[in-house]
Amino acid sequence: MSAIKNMYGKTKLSEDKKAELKAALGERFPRYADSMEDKTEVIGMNDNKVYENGGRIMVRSKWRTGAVIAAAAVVAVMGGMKLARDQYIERSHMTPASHEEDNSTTDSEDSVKEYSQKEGYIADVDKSTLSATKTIYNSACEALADIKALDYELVLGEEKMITSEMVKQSQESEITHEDGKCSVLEFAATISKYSEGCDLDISQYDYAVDFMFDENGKKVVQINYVYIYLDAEHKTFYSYPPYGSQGGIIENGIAKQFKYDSSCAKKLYEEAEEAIKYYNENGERFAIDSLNMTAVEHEYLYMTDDHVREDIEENDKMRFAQALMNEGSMTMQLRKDSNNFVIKFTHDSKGNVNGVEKVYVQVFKDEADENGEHKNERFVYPDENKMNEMTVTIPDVAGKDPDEASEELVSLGLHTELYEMFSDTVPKGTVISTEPAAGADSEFGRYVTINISQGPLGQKIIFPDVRGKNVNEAVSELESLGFSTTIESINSGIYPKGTVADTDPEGEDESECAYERGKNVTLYVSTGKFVVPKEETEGEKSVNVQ
Amino acid sequence: MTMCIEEVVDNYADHIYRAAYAYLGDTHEAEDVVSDVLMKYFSVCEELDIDTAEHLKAWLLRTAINRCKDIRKAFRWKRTSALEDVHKTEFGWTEAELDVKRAVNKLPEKYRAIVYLYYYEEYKTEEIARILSLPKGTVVSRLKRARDRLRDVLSDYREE
Repeated sequence: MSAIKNMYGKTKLSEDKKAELKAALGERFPRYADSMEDKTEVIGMNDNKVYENGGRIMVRSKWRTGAVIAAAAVVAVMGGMKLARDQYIERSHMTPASHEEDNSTTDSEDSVKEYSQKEGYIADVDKSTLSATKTIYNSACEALADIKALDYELVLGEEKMITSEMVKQSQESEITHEDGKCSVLEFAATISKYSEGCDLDISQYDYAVDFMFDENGKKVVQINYVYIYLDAEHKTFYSYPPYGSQGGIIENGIAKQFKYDSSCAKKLYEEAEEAIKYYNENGERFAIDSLNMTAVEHEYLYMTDDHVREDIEENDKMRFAQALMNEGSMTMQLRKDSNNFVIKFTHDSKGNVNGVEKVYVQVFKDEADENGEHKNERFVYPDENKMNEMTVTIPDVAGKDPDEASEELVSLGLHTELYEMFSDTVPKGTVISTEPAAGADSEFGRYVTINISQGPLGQKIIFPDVRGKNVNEAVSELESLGFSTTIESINSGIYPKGTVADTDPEGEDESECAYERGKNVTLYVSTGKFVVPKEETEGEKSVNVQ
Repeated sequence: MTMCIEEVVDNYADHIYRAAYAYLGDTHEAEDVVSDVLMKYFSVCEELDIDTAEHLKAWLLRTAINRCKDIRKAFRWKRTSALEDVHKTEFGWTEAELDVKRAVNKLPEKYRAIVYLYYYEEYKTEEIARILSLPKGTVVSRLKRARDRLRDVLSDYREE
C-alpha cells in the first residue's frame, strides 16, 4: 500500500499558497509572526528544534518508587492531582508487560514489575527514528495479516524475533517456501517488501520485531513491539508502540497474551475494596452506583492525553478509577487488553460507597469460532453462578438529545453507535429509537445503535449506488425510482466498458444521498479505457464524449 | 508549546492540506480548510495544552477533519471527473498514482480519512480512533474494509 503514501506525498500546498497563508496569518496574529528561535530554547518542547540542537534525548532512568505508571508521571508533572499509589505497591498478583531481559531489574520478594521499565528504554527520539519504527511496525502488521489470511504458520527461530540482520539476509539469499509455513526469512522478506517505496530507508536502522503469542505461547497473534536500537551494544532502544503499552506478559522468554480465568474477577474485587479503604481512610466519599471501563479509560486519557483532555469532564467515577489504575493491577491489564468490567458498590445509609457488591469482567476474544461469532468470556465475583446479572435493561431514550442518550447508555456499561435516518414524526436531531429497543435486555459491553432523526424524508429518496451496473439496468432502476437520466462517457479503467463508472450525484453513503425525486441524474458510462490520452492537457476535460 | 507562523505553516500546512484533500477530494476546499484550521489554531493556541509536536499534529489533523465534516454537511458535493486532470498537472502524479487516487476517491469518505491517517501519516489504529473520536473497533473494521476494496482495485491495475 505504499502506493497510497506516494500518491498523497505529492499532494502539497503550493509555495505561493503558503506564502499567502503566512501573510494572512501574520496580519491577523502579529505576535506569532516573529521568529521563535530564542523562545524555543526556553520552551524546549519543540521536537524539531530540540533534535536539531544535537539530538538531545532523554533516557528514562529506572523508577525506584515501584509501581508507578506512566500516567502517574504525567499527572505528577501536571501537579495538583492526588493519586493513591503507595498503598497498592505491594499488592500485585500478576506480571505486567515486560521483557525477558527485565528479570534482573526486579527483586525476588517483590513481584511488582514496572511500567516502561526496561533498562535503556528511551521515550523520546527524533522524527525519522519514530517514523522508521512506525514504518517497520506497519510493514510487519501487513506481513502478519498476509500470513493470517493464508493461514500459514509463522515458524520463528530461537530468538523469537525478526531482526534487521534477517531482513538483510532475506534480500541476499534465496527463500524456499514450505507449504503451510512461513519461515523467518520469508517473513523478513515480506516486511522488506512492504517497507519499500516509503521515503524512509529502514535498512540503516538496527531493529527487531517482537511478537505476541497466544495464551499457550504457541501461535503468533500480533506484533508486540518493534524495537530500534540506538547504539551498537543494544543498551538503549526505542519501541513502537511505546514500551509498556501492550498487554502481554512474559513467560519463558516470549510475550504471551494474558490468560484470563475466574481469578481475574476476584482480583478486581480486591482492588476495588482496597481503593474504597484508601479513600475512606483519606476521608473521601463517593456516591456512585457502579464503575466500568469507560470511567477508567476516560481517566487514563484525562491523565495522559493532552489533546483529548479538553473534551473530557472529570467526574466521581473517573476520580475513583484513579486508585484502581496501578501498574500491574487487574484494572490496567483489562484496560491494556481493551476488555470490559463493571464494579457494583454497596452503600451506607448516607448513600456513600462502603463496599463492593459484585464484580463482572468481560473478556473479548479476537478469534471467531467456526460460525464467525466472537465469543466473549465472562467472570463474576463473588457469586459466580449468577452470570445473568450482567444484563441491563435498555432505557427509553427516544426523544432525547443524542449525546444525552449516549451518555445514559454508556453509564450503564453499554457502548453506543450513532446512526442517522429519516423520520416523518421525530424532529431532526433527536433520538428515534435504539437497537435493541427500549425495555429489551442487553449485556454490559454490548453495542447499542442509537437511531437519530435527520428530519422528514419529504420528496427526497435515498439514491442507490448503481456503479458497476450495466447502463441499461442502471437507467431502468433509476427511472423506476422517479429520476430522469442523462448519459455521458468517461474513461475509467475501474469498471468494464458499458457499465456505470460514476454518477452525479453519487450514491455511496446511504444516509447522505437523499436526492429529490424527478431530478436529473448523470450517469458516466465507462469506455473501458483508463489511460487519459497525453494530448489532453489542462483546459480539456477528461470526460470524453464519444 | 507555541510556534511561530512560519514554523507551523512550513511543518504542518501540507499535512492539514493532505488530510483535507483526502477527505474532500477538492483542492480549493482543502486550501480553505488549511486556512481555517490555522486561523483557529493561532486564535486559541495559548489556551491549548499541547506540549509535543506529535500532539500538535494530531490536534491540527483532528480539527481539519472536523472542519471537513462541517463542510461536507453544509452542501452537497458535486464531483466532476474533469478535476482529475487539474490534479494531475498540479501535483505531478504519474498515471499509476492517478489510478491509486481514483481508487482511494472511490471509497466512501468515512474510509478516506482513515486510509490517509493510516497509510500516509502512519498513525496506529488507536491513535486514529482518538483523532477521529471513533471507537477503536470501528476504525479497525473500516480500515479492513477499505483495505479489501483497495486491494481489489489496485491488484487489477498491476495485471495490466
